Amino acid sequence: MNFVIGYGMILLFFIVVIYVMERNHRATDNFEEFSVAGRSFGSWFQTMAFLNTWLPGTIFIAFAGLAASAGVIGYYVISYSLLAVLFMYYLADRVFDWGKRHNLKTQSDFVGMRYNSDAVRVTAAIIGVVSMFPWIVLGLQSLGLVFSYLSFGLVSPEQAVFVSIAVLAIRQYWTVRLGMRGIVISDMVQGIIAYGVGGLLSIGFIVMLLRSDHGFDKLSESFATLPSFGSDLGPLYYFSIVLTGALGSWCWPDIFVRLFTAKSAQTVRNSAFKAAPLMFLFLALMLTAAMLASSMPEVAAAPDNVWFLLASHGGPVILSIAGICVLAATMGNINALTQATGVHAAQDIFHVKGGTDRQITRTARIIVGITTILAIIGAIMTVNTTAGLLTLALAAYQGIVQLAPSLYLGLLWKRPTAPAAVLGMIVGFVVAVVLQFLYPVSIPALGGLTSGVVGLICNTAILVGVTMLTPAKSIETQRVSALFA
Amino acid sequence: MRDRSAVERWILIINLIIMLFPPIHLFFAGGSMTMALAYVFGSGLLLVSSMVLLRSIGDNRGEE
Repeated sequence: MNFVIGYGMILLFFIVVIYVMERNHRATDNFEEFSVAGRSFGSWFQTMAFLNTWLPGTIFIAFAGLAASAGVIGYYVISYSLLAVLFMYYLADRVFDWGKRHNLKTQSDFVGMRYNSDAVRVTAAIIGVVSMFPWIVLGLQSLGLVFSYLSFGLVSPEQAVFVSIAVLAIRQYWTVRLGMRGIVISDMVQGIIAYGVGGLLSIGFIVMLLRSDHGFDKLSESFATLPSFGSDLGPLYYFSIVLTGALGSWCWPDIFVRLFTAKSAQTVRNSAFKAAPLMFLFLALMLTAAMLASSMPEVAAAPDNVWFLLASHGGPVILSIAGICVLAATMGNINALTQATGVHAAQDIFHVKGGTDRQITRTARIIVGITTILAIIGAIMTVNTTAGLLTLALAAYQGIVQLAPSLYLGLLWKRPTAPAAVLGMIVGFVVAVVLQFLYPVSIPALGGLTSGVVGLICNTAILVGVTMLTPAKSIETQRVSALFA
Repeated sequence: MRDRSAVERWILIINLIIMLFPPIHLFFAGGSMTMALAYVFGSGLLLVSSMVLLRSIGDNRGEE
């Protein structure tokens, strides 16, 4: 009976999401429609699309698990996420304006136009596509936990990965067919479920924990500390992870494209105003519930499962609803990642020299399909090696942030040149990835800086140095001045 | 980026400092959960309040 409740609710969730998407479907081969939904969405849709892309299902798993196992350091996600929203406000005008004026559809398209360089465009696209892939595989594996818990013991965690892959493969049909409009529409439904219902469940969990003697006084003193002077991680570790998270936010291609799907720059700013309180409220509630639960023996033994362990106290229906929250968050993230991979690879790598809308849209659809198949193969091959994959995914994060200097300095400063941007990105990416494998957490000799931050320092130094040593030609200077005017 | 006013600039700088440097500025809570949560929720609320302030200044109430 419990199995029927769990899997029945999953089925109901999919029916609702697909019904809403089909109702809003517009058949087209127009690439602008496929990639940025015709720049037509209002601020509520923008807000939910941003949240559903930014907060994946692993928020309920790995991030909740960090709060449950280590305390307030797990709240760092609030700091960098809110900074990302603040950056959205400051980026809105110029990014939207340039995007609309030059009909830009992707992040790589954006930096390529800024530097007037295909090399910049292709380099940014390759870094983006390579960095997104491990997260797609990780998302597939996160779904396994949902399908395992909601089977109430009938499906093992390993079998659940295969079930989740089958379900996602079916779901991807709509991502391939409907493009960005389908994604943003489904993000609204999925976002309300994941963060609205998830936030309400968190309030219930907090009340339950406080009433059953799992209050703040039961938490260890170490839960109220961050790595400081004399710690193993180093005093700059917290600074590094928040900085990387915040700067990296708009380097993710699937996040950046949110600035192009809006109706206007004002819409982007309005969605930042809406996203900040919603994000803060949801994360504060969910992480607090997870941290308070750390005094439960079963949570201490498996902190990553804290969300499901808490929900299991409410019976099969509550556990199923909690699972649907994770499912809704994961779906939004995987859809956004695969869509961004398809669009970037099609437009900024395979058709970088141009192509008709029909050709590029067709290539993008094929790549979304191929990416899904490759991710399924990746998930099957790594079904028992989640930890290793998470390391690779975190390394990818240190890599993606290497787009930051070219992106942000290119928006703020007229002088950076294409060779400086390409060289900076490549050196920063290589430094970050190599150091990430040598020092997966932090670099003690550098006070706790992470690989990504060291890469950023090298990247920025090269970008500025090469720009100063080899200034742009006058025709390029005039073009950039006109762009900034 | 748009031509920001001094208020917008200071909002960005203050929030960056508060979010990025808690261990250095506060010797982070020293094991007190009350202090730790006051920082975590306080800094978050400050940023949310900053967004409200940004909305109230300039032309941010305009039509989409």
